[in-house]
Amino acid sequence: MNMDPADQLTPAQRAAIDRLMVDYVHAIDEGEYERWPGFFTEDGHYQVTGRDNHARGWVAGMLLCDNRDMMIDRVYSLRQVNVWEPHAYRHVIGPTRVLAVDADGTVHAQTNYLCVRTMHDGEQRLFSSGRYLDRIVFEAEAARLRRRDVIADSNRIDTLLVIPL
Amino acid sequence: MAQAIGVRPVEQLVQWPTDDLSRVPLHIYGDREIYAWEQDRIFRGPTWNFLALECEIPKPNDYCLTRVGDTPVIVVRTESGGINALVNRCTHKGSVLCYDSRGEGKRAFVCPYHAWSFDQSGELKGIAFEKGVNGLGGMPPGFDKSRHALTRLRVETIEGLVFGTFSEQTPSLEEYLGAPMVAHIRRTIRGRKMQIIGRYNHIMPNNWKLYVENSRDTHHPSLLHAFFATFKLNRLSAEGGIRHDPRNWHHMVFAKRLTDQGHEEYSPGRLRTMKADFGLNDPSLIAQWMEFDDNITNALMSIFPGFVLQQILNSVGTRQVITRGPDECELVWTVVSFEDDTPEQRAIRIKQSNLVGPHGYISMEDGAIGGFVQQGIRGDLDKQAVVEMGGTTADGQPTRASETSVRGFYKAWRETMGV
Repeated sequence: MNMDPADQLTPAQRAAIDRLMVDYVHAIDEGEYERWPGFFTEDGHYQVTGRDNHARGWVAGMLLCDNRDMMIDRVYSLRQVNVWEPHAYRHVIGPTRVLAVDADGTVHAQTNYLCVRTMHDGEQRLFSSGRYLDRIVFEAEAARLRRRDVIADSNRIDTLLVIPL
Repeated sequence: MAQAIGVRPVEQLVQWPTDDLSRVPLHIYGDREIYAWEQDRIFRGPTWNFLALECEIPKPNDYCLTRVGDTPVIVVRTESGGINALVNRCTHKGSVLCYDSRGEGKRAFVCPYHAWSFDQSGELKGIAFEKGVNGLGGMPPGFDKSRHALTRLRVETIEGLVFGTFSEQTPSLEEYLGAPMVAHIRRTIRGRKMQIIGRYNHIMPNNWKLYVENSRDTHHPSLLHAFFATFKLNRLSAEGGIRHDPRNWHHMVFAKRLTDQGHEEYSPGRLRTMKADFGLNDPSLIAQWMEFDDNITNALMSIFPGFVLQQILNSVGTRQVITRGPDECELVWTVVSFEDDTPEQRAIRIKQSNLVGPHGYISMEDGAIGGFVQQGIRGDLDKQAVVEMGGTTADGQPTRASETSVRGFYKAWRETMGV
Protein backbone atom coordinates (compact mmCIF):
# COMPACT_ATOMS: atom_id res chain seq x y z
CA MET A 1 0.00 0.00 0.00
CA ASN A 2 1.30 3.46 -0.90
CA MET A 3 2.04 5.69 2.01
CA ASP A 4 0.09 8.92 2.26
CA PRO A 5 2.65 11.75 1.98
CA ALA A 6 0.89 13.36 4.92
CA ASP A 7 2.25 10.56 7.09
CA GLN A 8 5.72 12.09 6.75
CA LEU A 9 4.59 15.11 8.75
CA THR A 10 4.51 15.34 12.52
CA PRO A 11 1.17 16.13 14.16
CA ALA A 12 2.61 19.53 15.06
CA GLN A 13 3.49 20.21 11.43
CA ARG A 14 0.04 19.19 10.27
CA ALA A 15 -1.54 21.43 12.86
CA ALA A 16 0.72 24.30 11.72
CA ILE A 17 -0.43 23.84 8.11
CA ASP A 18 -4.07 23.85 9.16
CA ARG A 19 -3.52 27.03 11.15
CA LEU A 20 -1.87 28.67 8.11
CA MET A 21 -4.79 27.79 5.84
CA VAL A 22 -7.43 29.05 8.22
CA ASP A 23 -5.56 32.16 9.28
CA TYR A 24 -4.85 33.14 5.66
CA VAL A 25 -8.48 33.24 4.56
CA HIS A 26 -9.56 34.76 7.85
CA ALA A 27 -7.12 37.66 7.41
CA ILE A 28 -8.35 38.36 3.89
CA ASP A 29 -12.05 37.96 4.63
CA GLU A 30 -11.84 40.27 7.64
CA GLY A 31 -10.04 42.90 5.61
CA GLU A 32 -6.74 42.52 7.45
CA TYR A 33 -4.85 42.76 4.17
CA GLU A 34 -1.65 43.99 5.82
CA ARG A 35 -1.27 40.51 7.32
CA TRP A 36 -1.32 38.85 3.90
CA PRO A 37 2.42 39.15 3.03
CA GLY A 38 3.30 37.67 6.41
CA PHE A 39 1.94 34.27 5.41
CA PHE A 40 4.76 34.00 2.88
CA THR A 41 8.50 33.55 3.17
CA GLU A 42 10.69 36.53 2.27
CA ASP A 43 11.13 35.11 -1.25
CA GLY A 44 7.54 33.89 -1.41
CA HIS A 45 5.78 33.66 -4.76
CA TYR A 46 2.08 34.31 -5.36
CA GLN A 47 -0.14 34.44 -8.40
CA VAL A 48 -3.70 33.80 -9.53
CA THR A 49 -4.31 32.03 -12.78
CA GLY A 50 -7.11 30.22 -14.58
CA ARG A 51 -7.13 26.45 -14.87
CA ASP A 52 -6.85 26.63 -18.65
CA ASN A 53 -3.89 29.04 -18.53
CA HIS A 54 -2.22 26.83 -15.96
CA ALA A 55 -2.66 23.77 -18.17
CA ARG A 56 -1.14 25.62 -21.12
CA GLY A 57 1.91 26.70 -19.15
CA TRP A 58 1.15 30.41 -19.49
CA VAL A 59 3.15 31.78 -16.62
CA ALA A 60 2.06 35.41 -16.41
CA GLY A 61 -0.63 35.04 -13.77
CA MET A 62 -2.60 37.79 -12.08
CA LEU A 63 -1.43 39.68 -8.97
CA LEU A 64 1.92 38.07 -9.58
CA CYS A 65 4.41 38.70 -6.77
CA ASP A 66 7.80 37.06 -6.56
CA ASN A 67 8.78 38.37 -3.14
CA ARG A 68 7.17 39.75 0.00
CA ASP A 69 7.97 43.38 -0.91
CA MET A 70 5.83 43.10 -4.02
CA MET A 71 2.96 41.88 -1.84
CA ILE A 72 3.41 44.83 0.52
CA ASP A 73 3.26 47.14 -2.52
CA ARG A 74 0.03 45.51 -3.67
CA VAL A 75 -1.58 45.97 -0.28
CA TYR A 76 -0.50 49.61 -0.06
CA SER A 77 -1.82 50.20 -3.57
CA LEU A 78 -5.22 48.64 -2.89
CA ARG A 79 -5.55 50.72 0.28
CA GLN A 80 -4.24 54.04 -0.97
CA VAL A 81 -3.88 54.19 -4.72
CA ASN A 82 -6.34 52.15 -6.74
CA VAL A 83 -9.93 53.17 -7.46
CA TRP A 84 -12.47 50.39 -6.87
CA GLU A 85 -15.95 49.89 -5.48
CA PRO A 86 -15.73 48.64 -1.90
CA HIS A 87 -16.27 44.92 -1.58
CA ALA A 88 -15.22 41.99 0.58
CA TYR A 89 -14.61 38.28 0.16
CA ARG A 90 -15.81 35.26 2.10
CA HIS A 91 -13.71 32.16 1.52
CA VAL A 92 -14.76 28.64 2.37
CA ILE A 93 -11.89 26.18 2.21
CA GLY A 94 -11.80 22.42 2.19
CA PRO A 95 -9.35 20.13 3.98
CA THR A 96 -5.73 20.31 2.87
CA ARG A 97 -4.41 17.39 0.90
CA VAL A 98 -0.65 16.78 1.12
CA LEU A 99 0.63 15.89 -2.33
CA ALA A 100 4.32 15.32 -1.59
CA VAL A 101 7.12 16.17 0.80
CA ASP A 102 10.51 17.10 -0.66
CA ALA A 103 13.81 15.91 0.79
CA ASP A 104 14.37 19.39 2.25
CA GLY A 105 11.01 19.18 4.01
CA THR A 106 9.05 21.44 1.65
CA VAL A 107 5.43 20.33 1.64
CA HIS A 108 3.39 20.36 -1.58
CA ALA A 109 -0.27 20.68 -0.79
CA GLN A 110 -3.63 21.46 -2.33
CA THR A 111 -6.63 23.11 -0.72
CA ASN A 112 -9.90 23.83 -2.51
CA TYR A 113 -11.70 27.14 -2.00
CA LEU A 114 -14.93 28.93 -2.80
CA CYS A 115 -14.97 32.71 -2.63
CA VAL A 116 -18.12 34.83 -2.54
CA ARG A 117 -17.79 38.54 -3.22
CA THR A 118 -20.15 41.00 -1.54
CA MET A 119 -20.29 44.53 -2.95
CA HIS A 120 -20.91 47.63 -0.84
CA ASP A 121 -24.52 47.74 -2.03
CA GLY A 122 -25.14 44.15 -0.95
CA GLU A 123 -24.88 42.40 -4.32
CA GLN A 124 -23.40 38.96 -3.85
CA ARG A 125 -22.02 36.50 -6.33
CA LEU A 126 -19.72 33.52 -6.50
CA PHE A 127 -16.55 35.33 -7.46
CA SER A 128 -14.17 32.40 -7.76
CA SER A 129 -13.79 28.72 -7.05
CA GLY A 130 -10.58 26.79 -7.41
CA ARG A 131 -7.62 25.38 -5.57
CA TYR A 132 -4.56 26.62 -3.80
CA LEU A 133 -1.46 24.80 -4.99
CA ASP A 134 1.06 25.47 -2.26
CA ARG A 135 4.66 24.88 -1.32
CA ILE A 136 4.91 25.17 2.42
CA VAL A 137 8.01 25.40 4.60
CA PHE A 138 8.37 25.57 8.36
CA GLU A 139 10.02 28.58 9.97
CA ALA A 140 10.46 27.90 13.68
CA GLU A 141 7.00 26.60 14.71
CA ALA A 142 5.07 28.32 11.93
CA ALA A 143 4.17 27.07 8.47
CA ARG A 144 4.73 29.62 5.70
CA LEU A 145 4.04 29.72 2.00
CA ARG A 146 7.07 29.67 -0.25
CA ARG A 147 4.71 29.58 -3.18
CA ARG A 148 0.96 29.82 -3.64
CA ASP A 149 -0.56 29.36 -7.08
CA VAL A 150 -4.25 30.09 -6.97
CA ILE A 151 -5.70 28.03 -9.81
CA ALA A 152 -9.17 29.41 -10.41
CA ASP A 153 -11.55 27.06 -12.17
CA SER A 154 -12.64 29.83 -14.52
CA ASN A 155 -10.46 32.10 -16.61
CA ARG A 156 -12.95 34.89 -16.23
CA ILE A 157 -12.66 37.72 -13.76
CA ASP A 158 -15.67 39.93 -13.18
CA THR A 159 -14.83 43.65 -13.23
CA LEU A 160 -11.53 43.48 -11.37
CA LEU A 161 -9.24 41.51 -9.08
CA VAL A 162 -7.76 43.78 -6.46
CA ILE A 163 -7.99 41.80 -3.20
CA PRO A 164 -5.88 38.66 -3.26
CA LEU A 165 -7.71 35.34 -3.30
CA MET B 1 -26.77 37.14 -41.28
CA ALA B 2 -28.67 39.65 -39.30
CA GLN B 3 -29.61 40.44 -35.75
CA ALA B 4 -31.59 43.60 -36.44
CA ILE B 5 -34.77 41.66 -37.10
CA GLY B 6 -38.04 43.07 -35.82
CA VAL B 7 -36.36 46.22 -34.56
CA ARG B 8 -36.97 49.78 -35.62
CA PRO B 9 -34.90 51.39 -38.40
CA VAL B 10 -31.60 52.65 -37.09
CA GLU B 11 -32.31 56.19 -38.34
CA GLN B 12 -35.27 56.29 -35.97
CA LEU B 13 -33.26 54.94 -33.08
CA VAL B 14 -30.29 57.29 -33.27
CA GLN B 15 -30.51 60.99 -33.94
CA TRP B 16 -27.09 62.46 -33.37
CA PRO B 17 -27.50 65.56 -31.17
CA THR B 18 -24.94 67.77 -32.91
CA ASP B 19 -23.49 68.28 -36.36
CA ASP B 20 -20.03 67.56 -35.01
CA LEU B 21 -18.66 64.83 -32.73
CA SER B 22 -18.58 66.84 -29.51
CA ARG B 23 -21.64 65.14 -27.98
CA VAL B 24 -22.53 61.47 -27.62
CA PRO B 25 -26.13 60.46 -26.81
CA LEU B 26 -26.09 58.29 -23.68
CA HIS B 27 -28.88 55.97 -24.81
CA ILE B 28 -26.54 54.22 -27.26
CA TYR B 29 -24.94 52.52 -24.24
CA GLY B 30 -27.99 50.61 -23.15
CA ASP B 31 -30.33 49.98 -26.06
CA ARG B 32 -31.02 46.45 -27.31
CA GLU B 33 -32.20 47.60 -30.74
CA ILE B 34 -29.14 49.74 -31.37
CA TYR B 35 -27.03 46.82 -30.19
CA ALA B 36 -28.64 44.60 -32.84
CA TRP B 37 -27.83 47.16 -35.53
CA GLU B 38 -24.24 47.32 -34.31
CA GLN B 39 -23.91 43.60 -34.86
CA ASP B 40 -25.06 43.93 -38.48
CA ARG B 41 -23.55 47.23 -39.50
CA ILE B 42 -20.30 47.20 -37.53
CA PHE B 43 -19.18 43.68 -36.65
CA ARG B 44 -20.61 42.16 -39.84
CA GLY B 45 -20.05 45.35 -41.77
CA PRO B 46 -17.04 46.86 -43.56
CA THR B 47 -14.61 46.41 -40.66
CA TRP B 48 -11.63 44.18 -39.93
CA ASN B 49 -11.98 42.35 -36.62
CA PHE B 50 -9.15 40.75 -34.70
CA LEU B 51 -9.60 36.97 -34.57
CA ALA B 52 -6.51 35.36 -33.06
CA LEU B 53 -2.74 35.25 -32.99
CA GLU B 54 -1.11 33.05 -35.60
CA CYS B 55 0.90 31.39 -32.84
CA GLU B 56 -2.33 29.97 -31.40
CA ILE B 57 -2.73 27.73 -34.44
CA PRO B 58 0.87 26.96 -35.43
CA LYS B 59 0.39 23.58 -37.16
CA PRO B 60 -1.81 22.53 -40.09
CA ASN B 61 -5.30 21.53 -38.90
CA ASP B 62 -5.02 23.43 -35.59
CA TYR B 63 -8.08 25.47 -34.78
CA CYS B 64 -9.28 27.89 -32.13
CA LEU B 65 -12.62 29.55 -31.43
CA THR B 66 -13.22 33.27 -31.25
CA ARG B 67 -16.08 35.75 -31.61
CA VAL B 68 -16.76 38.70 -33.87
CA GLY B 69 -19.27 40.72 -31.92
CA ASP B 70 -21.83 38.07 -30.96
CA THR B 71 -21.00 35.70 -33.82
CA PRO B 72 -19.04 32.55 -32.95
CA VAL B 73 -16.16 31.97 -35.36
CA ILE B 74 -13.74 29.08 -35.99
CA VAL B 75 -10.20 29.99 -37.04
CA VAL B 76 -8.41 27.06 -38.65
CA ARG B 77 -4.91 26.55 -40.04
CA THR B 78 -5.53 24.65 -43.27
CA GLU B 79 -3.67 21.58 -44.49
CA SER B 80 -1.72 23.81 -46.85
CA GLY B 81 -0.81 26.30 -44.09
CA GLY B 82 -3.31 29.07 -44.85
CA ILE B 83 -5.83 30.43 -42.37
CA ASN B 84 -9.60 30.21 -42.82
CA ALA B 85 -12.29 31.71 -40.63
CA LEU B 86 -15.79 30.20 -40.64
CA VAL B 87 -18.94 30.97 -38.73
CA ASN B 88 -19.32 28.25 -36.12
CA ARG B 89 -22.92 27.45 -37.05
CA CYS B 90 -24.10 24.34 -38.83
CA THR B 91 -26.22 25.29 -41.83
CA HIS B 92 -28.63 22.47 -40.96
CA LYS B 93 -30.14 23.40 -37.60
CA GLY B 94 -27.78 26.06 -36.34
CA SER B 95 -25.80 24.14 -33.74
CA VAL B 96 -22.19 25.08 -33.13
CA LEU B 97 -19.85 22.69 -34.92
CA CYS B 98 -16.94 23.08 -32.49
CA TYR B 99 -17.61 23.34 -28.79
CA ASP B 100 -14.08 23.01 -27.42
CA SER B 101 -12.18 26.30 -27.46
CA ARG B 102 -9.25 24.83 -29.36
CA GLY B 103 -7.94 21.65 -30.87
CA GLU B 104 -5.70 20.02 -33.44
CA GLY B 105 -5.99 17.56 -36.29
CA LYS B 106 -9.20 19.18 -37.50
CA ARG B 107 -9.46 18.25 -41.18
CA ALA B 108 -13.25 18.52 -41.22
CA PHE B 109 -15.96 19.98 -39.06
CA VAL B 110 -18.68 17.50 -38.22
CA CYS B 111 -21.79 18.73 -36.50
CA PRO B 112 -22.42 16.92 -33.21
CA TYR B 113 -26.19 17.01 -33.82
CA HIS B 114 -26.84 15.22 -37.16
CA ALA B 115 -23.28 14.75 -38.48
CA TRP B 116 -23.36 17.18 -41.37
CA SER B 117 -19.70 17.61 -42.28
CA PHE B 118 -17.85 20.56 -43.72
CA ASP B 119 -14.31 20.90 -45.02
CA GLN B 120 -11.80 23.54 -43.93
CA SER B 121 -13.17 25.96 -46.52
CA GLY B 122 -16.67 25.58 -45.10
CA GLU B 123 -18.04 23.54 -48.02
CA LEU B 124 -20.75 21.05 -47.06
CA LYS B 125 -19.26 17.66 -47.92
CA GLY B 126 -21.46 15.10 -46.29
CA ILE B 127 -24.93 14.56 -44.87
CA ALA B 128 -25.56 11.45 -42.81
CA PHE B 129 -28.18 9.23 -44.47
CA GLU B 130 -28.29 11.62 -47.44
CA LYS B 131 -29.75 8.79 -49.57
CA GLY B 132 -32.03 7.61 -46.81
CA VAL B 133 -32.34 3.99 -45.67
CA ASN B 134 -33.32 1.20 -48.07
CA GLY B 135 -34.38 3.77 -50.62
CA LEU B 136 -36.69 5.55 -48.22
CA GLY B 137 -36.32 9.01 -46.77
CA GLY B 138 -33.10 10.97 -47.23
CA MET B 139 -32.63 14.32 -48.87
CA PRO B 140 -34.58 15.10 -52.05
CA PRO B 141 -32.61 14.49 -55.25
CA GLY B 142 -32.40 18.19 -56.10
CA PHE B 143 -30.82 19.17 -52.79
CA ASP B 144 -27.72 21.22 -53.66
CA LYS B 145 -25.03 20.89 -51.00
CA SER B 146 -22.99 23.70 -52.53
CA ARG B 147 -25.68 26.15 -51.43
CA HIS B 148 -25.28 25.22 -47.79
CA ALA B 149 -21.67 26.09 -47.09
CA LEU B 150 -20.62 27.73 -43.83
CA THR B 151 -20.39 31.50 -43.87
CA ARG B 152 -16.77 32.28 -44.51
CA LEU B 153 -14.94 35.45 -43.52
CA ARG B 154 -12.19 37.07 -45.55
CA VAL B 155 -8.94 36.68 -43.63
CA GLU B 156 -5.74 38.71 -43.70
CA THR B 157 -2.79 38.77 -41.35
CA ILE B 158 -0.16 41.28 -40.36
CA GLU B 159 2.84 40.46 -38.17
CA GLY B 160 1.18 37.39 -36.69
CA LEU B 161 -2.15 39.12 -35.98
CA VAL B 162 -5.12 37.48 -37.74
CA PHE B 163 -8.06 39.65 -38.81
CA GLY B 164 -11.34 38.75 -40.46
CA THR B 165 -14.15 40.62 -42.17
CA PHE B 166 -17.64 39.57 -43.26
CA SER B 167 -17.98 42.22 -45.94
CA GLU B 168 -16.80 42.21 -49.53
CA GLN B 169 -16.81 46.02 -49.30
CA THR B 170 -14.04 46.18 -46.71
CA PRO B 171 -10.81 47.42 -48.31
CA SER B 172 -7.63 45.37 -47.88
CA LEU B 173 -6.40 45.13 -44.28
CA GLU B 174 -3.48 47.49 -44.86
CA GLU B 175 -5.64 50.04 -46.58
CA TYR B 176 -8.22 49.75 -43.78
CA LEU B 177 -5.59 50.27 -41.09
CA GLY B 178 -3.82 53.10 -42.91
CA ALA B 179 -0.09 53.60 -43.21
CA PRO B 180 0.56 55.04 -39.70
CA MET B 181 -1.15 52.07 -38.00
CA VAL B 182 0.60 49.55 -40.26
CA ALA B 183 3.92 51.21 -39.46
CA HIS B 184 3.19 51.05 -35.73
CA ILE B 185 2.29 47.34 -35.87
CA ARG B 186 5.48 46.58 -37.77
CA ARG B 187 7.50 48.69 -35.34
CA THR B 188 6.04 46.86 -32.32
CA ILE B 189 6.29 43.26 -33.54
CA ARG B 190 9.07 43.71 -36.14
CA GLY B 191 8.90 40.19 -37.43
CA ARG B 192 9.53 38.58 -34.06
CA LYS B 193 7.81 35.30 -33.31
CA MET B 194 5.26 35.65 -30.52
CA GLN B 195 4.79 33.32 -27.60
CA ILE B 196 1.76 33.76 -25.37
CA ILE B 197 2.69 34.15 -21.70
CA GLY B 198 -0.75 34.93 -20.28
CA ARG B 199 -4.40 35.51 -21.06
CA TYR B 200 -7.02 37.27 -18.96
CA ASN B 201 -10.73 37.08 -19.72
CA HIS B 202 -12.05 40.27 -18.25
CA ILE B 203 -15.82 40.67 -17.90
CA MET B 204 -16.74 44.35 -17.77
CA PRO B 205 -20.11 45.60 -16.48
CA ASN B 206 -20.56 48.09 -19.29
CA ASN B 207 -21.45 48.51 -22.95
CA TRP B 208 -18.56 47.58 -25.24
CA LYS B 209 -18.20 51.14 -26.53
CA LEU B 210 -17.39 52.44 -23.07
CA TYR B 211 -14.32 50.23 -22.95
CA VAL B 212 -13.21 51.08 -26.48
CA GLU B 213 -13.47 54.80 -25.87
CA ASN B 214 -11.58 54.37 -22.60
CA SER B 215 -8.76 52.69 -24.51
CA ARG B 216 -8.60 55.77 -26.71
CA ASP B 217 -9.12 58.39 -24.04
CA THR B 218 -5.71 59.99 -23.96
CA HIS B 219 -6.33 62.41 -21.19
CA HIS B 220 -7.58 60.07 -18.47
CA PRO B 221 -4.47 57.98 -17.70
CA SER B 222 -2.69 60.33 -15.33
CA LEU B 223 -6.01 61.48 -13.84
CA LEU B 224 -7.63 58.11 -13.12
CA HIS B 225 -4.53 55.99 -12.73
CA ALA B 226 -2.52 57.13 -9.74
CA PHE B 227 0.11 54.55 -10.53
CA PHE B 228 0.91 56.18 -13.87
CA ALA B 229 1.07 59.69 -12.50
CA THR B 230 3.03 58.96 -9.36
CA PHE B 231 5.79 57.09 -11.14
CA LYS B 232 5.87 59.54 -14.04
CA LEU B 233 5.17 56.61 -16.35
CA ASN B 234 2.54 58.35 -18.44
CA ARG B 235 1.86 61.98 -17.66
CA LEU B 236 0.63 64.60 -20.05
CA SER B 237 3.84 66.54 -19.43
CA ALA B 238 5.92 63.84 -21.09
CA GLU B 239 6.56 64.01 -24.81
CA GLY B 240 3.84 62.17 -26.65
CA GLY B 241 1.10 62.50 -29.18
CA ILE B 242 -1.67 60.94 -31.18
CA ARG B 243 -1.35 59.42 -34.64
CA HIS B 244 -4.29 58.45 -36.79
CA ASP B 245 -5.22 56.87 -40.10
CA PRO B 246 -6.50 58.98 -43.02
CA ARG B 247 -10.16 58.42 -42.03
CA ASN B 248 -9.54 59.07 -38.29
CA TRP B 249 -11.10 55.72 -37.45
CA HIS B 250 -8.04 54.33 -35.66
CA HIS B 251 -5.67 56.05 -33.28
CA MET B 252 -2.34 55.38 -31.67
CA VAL B 253 -1.47 57.34 -28.57
CA PHE B 254 2.05 57.30 -27.21
CA ALA B 255 4.25 58.72 -24.49
CA LYS B 256 7.97 58.86 -23.80
CA ARG B 257 8.45 58.37 -20.10
CA LEU B 258 11.98 59.77 -19.92
CA THR B 259 11.07 63.13 -21.48
CA ASP B 260 8.71 64.14 -18.66
CA GLN B 261 9.21 67.87 -17.94
CA GLY B 262 6.54 68.09 -15.22
CA HIS B 263 3.59 70.47 -14.96
CA GLU B 264 2.15 72.39 -12.04
CA GLU B 265 -1.06 70.31 -12.23
CA TYR B 266 1.05 67.41 -11.00
CA SER B 267 2.26 69.26 -7.88
CA PRO B 268 1.57 67.33 -4.68
CA GLY B 269 -1.95 68.01 -3.44
CA ARG B 270 -3.38 69.13 -6.77
CA LEU B 271 -4.54 65.82 -8.18
CA ARG B 272 -5.80 62.76 -6.36
CA THR B 273 -3.49 60.67 -8.49
CA MET B 274 -0.26 62.29 -7.30
CA LYS B 275 0.78 60.28 -4.25
CA ALA B 276 4.01 61.83 -3.05
CA ASP B 277 4.41 59.14 -0.40
CA PHE B 278 3.83 56.12 -2.62
CA GLY B 279 7.14 54.45 -3.27
CA LEU B 280 7.46 50.84 -4.33
CA ASN B 281 9.26 48.53 -1.92
CA ASP B 282 10.19 46.54 -4.98
CA PRO B 283 10.78 48.94 -7.88
CA SER B 284 11.80 46.06 -10.16
CA LEU B 285 8.17 46.13 -11.31
CA ILE B 286 8.77 49.24 -13.38
CA ALA B 287 12.33 48.53 -14.44
CA GLN B 288 12.36 48.34 -18.21
CA TRP B 289 14.77 48.12 -21.08
CA MET B 290 14.51 50.49 -24.03
CA GLU B 291 13.05 48.05 -26.53
CA PHE B 292 12.30 50.53 -29.31
CA ASP B 293 14.56 53.06 -31.02
CA ASP B 294 11.85 55.72 -30.92
CA ASN B 295 12.05 55.77 -27.07
CA ILE B 296 8.29 55.35 -26.81
CA THR B 297 7.56 53.72 -23.46
CA ASN B 298 3.78 53.61 -23.66
CA ALA B 299 1.74 53.09 -26.80
CA LEU B 300 -1.87 52.08 -27.23
CA MET B 301 -3.17 51.56 -30.73
CA SER B 302 -6.95 51.22 -31.00
CA ILE B 303 -8.34 49.81 -34.25
CA PHE B 304 -12.05 50.20 -34.97
CA PRO B 305 -14.16 48.50 -33.84
CA GLY B 306 -12.61 46.60 -30.93
CA PHE B 307 -8.91 45.80 -31.15
CA VAL B 308 -6.04 47.24 -29.14
CA LEU B 309 -2.32 46.61 -29.53
CA GLN B 310 -0.62 47.48 -26.29
CA GLN B 311 2.91 48.39 -25.26
CA ILE B 312 3.14 49.44 -21.61
CA LEU B 313 6.87 49.65 -20.85
CA ASN B 314 7.83 46.14 -22.04
CA SER B 315 4.41 44.55 -21.64
CA VAL B 316 3.32 43.81 -25.20
CA GLY B 317 -0.04 42.30 -25.97
CA THR B 318 -3.42 42.40 -27.61
CA ARG B 319 -6.87 43.25 -26.33
CA GLN B 320 -9.98 42.00 -28.10
CA VAL B 321 -13.39 43.41 -27.22
CA ILE B 322 -16.25 40.90 -27.39
CA THR B 323 -19.83 42.07 -27.03
CA ARG B 324 -22.09 40.43 -24.43
CA GLY B 325 -25.33 42.36 -24.74
CA PRO B 326 -25.96 46.10 -24.35
CA ASP B 327 -24.58 46.42 -20.83
CA GLU B 328 -21.74 43.91 -20.58
CA CYS B 329 -18.65 43.05 -22.58
CA GLU B 330 -15.61 40.84 -22.38
CA LEU B 331 -12.08 42.00 -22.92
CA VAL B 332 -9.65 39.25 -23.84
CA TRP B 333 -6.13 40.27 -22.86
CA THR B 334 -3.24 38.31 -24.31
CA VAL B 335 0.30 39.16 -23.21
CA VAL B 336 3.26 37.87 -25.17
CA SER B 337 6.99 37.47 -25.16
CA PHE B 338 9.12 36.97 -28.26
CA GLU B 339 11.19 34.00 -29.27
CA ASP B 340 14.42 36.01 -29.28
CA ASP B 341 13.88 37.50 -25.80
CA THR B 342 16.65 36.81 -23.30
CA PRO B 343 15.48 35.06 -20.10
CA GLU B 344 15.84 38.42 -18.30
CA GLN B 345 13.68 40.21 -20.86
CA ARG B 346 11.03 37.52 -20.66
CA ALA B 347 11.05 37.80 -16.86
CA ILE B 348 10.52 41.58 -17.11
CA ARG B 349 7.54 41.09 -19.43
CA ILE B 350 6.03 38.54 -17.05
CA LYS B 351 6.48 40.87 -14.08
CA GLN B 352 5.04 43.84 -15.96
CA SER B 353 1.86 41.92 -16.67
CA ASN B 354 1.02 43.29 -13.20
CA LEU B 355 0.25 46.58 -14.95
CA VAL B 356 -2.47 45.21 -17.24
CA GLY B 357 -5.50 42.95 -17.10
CA PRO B 358 -8.32 42.81 -14.54
CA HIS B 359 -5.69 42.84 -11.79
CA GLY B 360 -3.48 45.49 -13.38
CA TYR B 361 -2.21 48.30 -11.17
CA ILE B 362 -3.40 50.52 -13.99
CA SER B 363 -6.04 48.74 -15.97
CA MET B 364 -8.13 47.32 -13.11
CA GLU B 365 -9.49 50.85 -12.91
CA ASP B 366 -10.57 50.75 -16.55
CA GLY B 367 -12.61 47.68 -15.62
CA ALA B 368 -14.33 49.65 -12.89
CA ILE B 369 -14.80 52.98 -14.63
CA GLY B 370 -17.01 51.68 -17.45
CA GLY B 371 -19.32 50.26 -14.81
CA PHE B 372 -19.35 53.60 -13.02
CA VAL B 373 -20.56 55.26 -16.22
CA GLN B 374 -23.11 52.52 -16.87
CA GLN B 375 -24.45 53.02 -13.33
CA GLY B 376 -24.37 56.80 -13.53
CA ILE B 377 -26.37 57.16 -16.73
CA ARG B 378 -29.38 55.17 -15.46
CA GLY B 379 -32.48 57.29 -15.70
CA ASP B 380 -30.72 59.91 -17.82
CA LEU B 381 -30.55 58.26 -21.22
CA ASP B 382 -31.83 61.42 -22.88
CA LYS B 383 -28.62 63.24 -21.84
CA GLN B 384 -25.34 63.49 -23.70
CA ALA B 385 -21.67 62.96 -22.94
CA VAL B 386 -19.41 65.96 -23.55
CA VAL B 387 -16.41 65.12 -25.72
CA GLU B 388 -14.97 68.52 -26.44
CA MET B 389 -11.43 68.58 -25.09
CA GLY B 390 -9.11 69.53 -27.92
CA GLY B 391 -11.96 70.66 -30.18
CA THR B 392 -14.79 68.99 -32.02
CA THR B 393 -13.00 67.09 -34.79
CA ALA B 394 -11.16 63.78 -34.86
CA ASP B 395 -7.81 64.64 -36.42
CA GLY B 396 -4.37 63.88 -35.02
CA GLN B 397 -3.01 66.24 -32.41
CA PRO B 398 0.39 66.98 -30.93
CA THR B 399 -0.99 66.85 -27.38
CA ARG B 400 -2.76 64.18 -25.41
CA ALA B 401 -4.80 66.77 -23.48
CA SER B 402 -7.49 66.01 -26.01
CA GLU B 403 -10.39 63.69 -26.71
CA THR B 404 -9.78 63.59 -30.43
CA SER B 405 -9.43 59.83 -30.62
CA VAL B 406 -12.70 59.29 -28.74
CA ARG B 407 -14.32 61.50 -31.36
CA GLY B 408 -12.60 59.36 -34.00
CA PHE B 409 -14.31 56.29 -32.58
CA TYR B 410 -17.72 57.95 -32.90
CA LYS B 411 -16.88 59.14 -36.40
CA ALA B 412 -16.28 55.51 -37.39
CA TRP B 413 -19.37 54.40 -35.45
CA ARG B 414 -21.63 56.91 -37.19
CA GLU B 415 -20.21 56.15 -40.63
CA THR B 416 -20.67 52.41 -40.28
CA MET B 417 -24.08 52.69 -38.59
CA GLY B 418 -25.27 55.23 -41.17
CA VAL B 419 -26.56 57.75 -38.64
